Amino acid sequence: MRVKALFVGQYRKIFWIGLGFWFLLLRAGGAQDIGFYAEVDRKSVGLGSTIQLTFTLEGTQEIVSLPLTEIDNFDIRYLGPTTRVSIVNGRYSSSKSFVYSLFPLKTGRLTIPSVAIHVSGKTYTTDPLEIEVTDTSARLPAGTAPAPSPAQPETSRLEDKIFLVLEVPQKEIYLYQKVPVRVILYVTDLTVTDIHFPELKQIGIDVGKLDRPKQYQQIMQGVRYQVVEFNMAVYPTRTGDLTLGPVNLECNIIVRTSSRGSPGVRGPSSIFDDDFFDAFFDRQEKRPVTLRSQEAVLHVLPLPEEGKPQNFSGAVGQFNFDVSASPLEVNAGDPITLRMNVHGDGNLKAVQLPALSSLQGFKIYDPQVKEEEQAKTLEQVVIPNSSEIKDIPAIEFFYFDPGLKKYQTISRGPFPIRVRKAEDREGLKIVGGEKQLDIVEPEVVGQDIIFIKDSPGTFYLMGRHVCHDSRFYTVIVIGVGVWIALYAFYQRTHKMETDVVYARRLLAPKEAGKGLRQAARLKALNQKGEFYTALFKTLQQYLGNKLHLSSGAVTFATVQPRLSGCIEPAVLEELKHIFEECDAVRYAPAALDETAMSGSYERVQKIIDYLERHLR
Amino acid sequence: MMLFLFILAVPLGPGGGVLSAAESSLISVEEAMSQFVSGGLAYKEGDYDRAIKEYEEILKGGRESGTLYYNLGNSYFRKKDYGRAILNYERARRLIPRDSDLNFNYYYALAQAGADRRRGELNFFRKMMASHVLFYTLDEMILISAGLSFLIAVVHLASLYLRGSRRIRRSILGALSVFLIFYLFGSVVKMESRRNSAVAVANSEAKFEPRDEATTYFSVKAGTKIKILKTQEAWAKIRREDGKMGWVPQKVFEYI
Repeated sequence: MRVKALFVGQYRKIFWIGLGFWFLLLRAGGAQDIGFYAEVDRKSVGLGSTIQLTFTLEGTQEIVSLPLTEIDNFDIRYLGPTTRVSIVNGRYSSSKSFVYSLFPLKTGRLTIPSVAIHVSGKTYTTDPLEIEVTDTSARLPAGTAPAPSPAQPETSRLEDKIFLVLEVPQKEIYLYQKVPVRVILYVTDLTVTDIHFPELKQIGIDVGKLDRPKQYQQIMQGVRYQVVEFNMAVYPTRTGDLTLGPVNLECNIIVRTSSRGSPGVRGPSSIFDDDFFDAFFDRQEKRPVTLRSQEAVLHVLPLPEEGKPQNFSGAVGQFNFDVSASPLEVNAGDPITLRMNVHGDGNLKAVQLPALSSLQGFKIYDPQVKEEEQAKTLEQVVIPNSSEIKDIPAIEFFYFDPGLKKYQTISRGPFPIRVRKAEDREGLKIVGGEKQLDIVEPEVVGQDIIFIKDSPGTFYLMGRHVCHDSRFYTVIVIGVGVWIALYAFYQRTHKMETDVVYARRLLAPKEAGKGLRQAARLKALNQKGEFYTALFKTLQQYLGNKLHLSSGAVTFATVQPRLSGCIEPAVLEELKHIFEECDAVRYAPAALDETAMSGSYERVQKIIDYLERHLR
Repeated sequence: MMLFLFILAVPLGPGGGVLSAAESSLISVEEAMSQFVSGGLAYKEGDYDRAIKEYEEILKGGRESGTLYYNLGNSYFRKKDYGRAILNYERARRLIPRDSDLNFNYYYALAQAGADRRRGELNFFRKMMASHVLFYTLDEMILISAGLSFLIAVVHLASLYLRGSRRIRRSILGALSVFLIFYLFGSVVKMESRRNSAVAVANSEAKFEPRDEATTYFSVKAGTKIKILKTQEAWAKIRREDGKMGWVPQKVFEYI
């Protein structure tokens, strides 16, 4: 309890000291002058590098954010605030800084305009800052005088170093005509990573799959560019003037950024401002940019009505059309597979192959169409119904050729076939599977009961079962009897082994009989002493077994309390008498004749018989 | 001990331990064989009436066999008496339940007769028990039960005298007991399903009351298996396999 009180007292002390300290800070803070400054980490920077712009507000922390979202000629990114509190010689001061990363978009002397904030009804304004942005591509090694270059523009812009171009070679096109489009990314003097695929979403234009981009170098106006070229095809789906683009492309530019502290800390003319240290301390970071291409206008013409085939399905381009039929010799009712293939340059996606829907004399199945990169394949099963059919009629494919500006027709066939009569057929076959499986028409089989049996099997007495057979019960009874006998025998044996009291009681009459027989032999030899000793031991052992006593400990005095309630007093008296008689003869041999010995023997025998019957 | 007592407690079925009335006129196996061959010859000659007569003489002589009922069923089938054909196939199934020819003919006759077998959906346990009961004859089930009891006794005594592991003993005895219960239960189910079972031998109508003028409740086609619930004069109250109960004249069915 005392320790706890001590701790509570200490916490209370710390709390009051802390409270006093913060009260002091607040009072001191209220007294501090407010100042608002802007500074950059360097005044000169190469195009492609970033500078750090810091606005510091001293004397108050009321301002949460600055009203600064963009600066002309810079790409601006807010990095976050920092707060500093210091007490020097009892003087408290605090400041809050707002740090921005500026990425110049062109070279030259660029100005960061002044920024104003309002604190407690007063307006505080920073001074404008001038930044010298130089073209890093024009930078030469130290000590080398820069040579004037007529090709070098006076002002370089970031847009000159990385830009996206949308190239559409053909502006006047037909509806559904395939128009190849190139989206080209030009980069120079910059490191660009994580270039995404360009996005082109346009209503009324179906954009095809983008090919794998090509990378190469190209010199334009004396400048070497790294070029990434994306090729795709677009298909106009409506007529009129359609605007394609702009195309957006996202990527990251690797820019250099200073890792040093603010210039105010080191002083403006530190040796660390040297280019060598710049190169040594500069670090790189990824700056995401979204590039946007120019737009392109497509003038989409409708397909001419003149000469338009009736079955024209919308194929525009240059195509080839092949048709094959196999097998050409079949039985009536057997399938023939027609394979049509269209390949070429055009809007294959919209091409519809001339599938057969009805053909006299044929059963027509639905076609299966497969589309590949530059081809479209159709497979259709037709089944001639009769042997009268001699050929499959010609199949025509229509398309509009925008180069020739007219409709074209490709006709294939007719395909002569030989159809045998249906009697020759062996079975239906599935055509087109990897394995050709024979399908046997279901055989019509007769149905009837199975014939009678010749062998009667076993004749039983009517209605008789095994459970009506006395032999069954005999076996059951014998089995039960044997089981009971063996189980009882086991139980007895087990008890004899484990229950000593039971075992001694069970063996008592047997051992008593043995002792009596020995006494009888000694009586016949007229050995009085030995006879009475044997008689006494027999009695002693019998009572010991019966009453679970040690044989040596059995005397009349020890057995009397146990027997007095169980047997008649006369028998108990007789037992006492025989014990005394045995003792008398054993320790003081008297002149006893054979009659007395016989009497003693019979008494012991009777007592054992009696006890065997009455002592449980 | 309990298991043996249970064995002895298995109901013995109708007529248990009592000789049938036909025993007084019991024919010898040789006579039965002779008549069976005669019946077969008559059948092959197309004389189905004579075949039926020969086969039924054997039954009257107090002898039966699964094949005898099978042939008799075939003979009735040929006479287009589908009811009696199915009746005899049912009787044959008691003795030779796994005979594929018999089962084919039985189901074919049922289809021909258009007999009602509206048993309804059985759950898994009932399906299993039904297939178990139909697979064995009653005698086979009783003997298997007795054999399992004997095995249990032997394993029990062996484990006592040989002082084996108590866990192993319990596992073996447990498994054997489960089988024993399964077969004993199957025996009881089999006997119960046979008790008072009959087959309609003619098309009939089950009435709401045991009289001719009573309203007809449902029809009973020849070959339909029915349960006889009680009899009253010339009528019997029956239950069809779909649970519908009604009264039909006793002459339209025969006990299996």
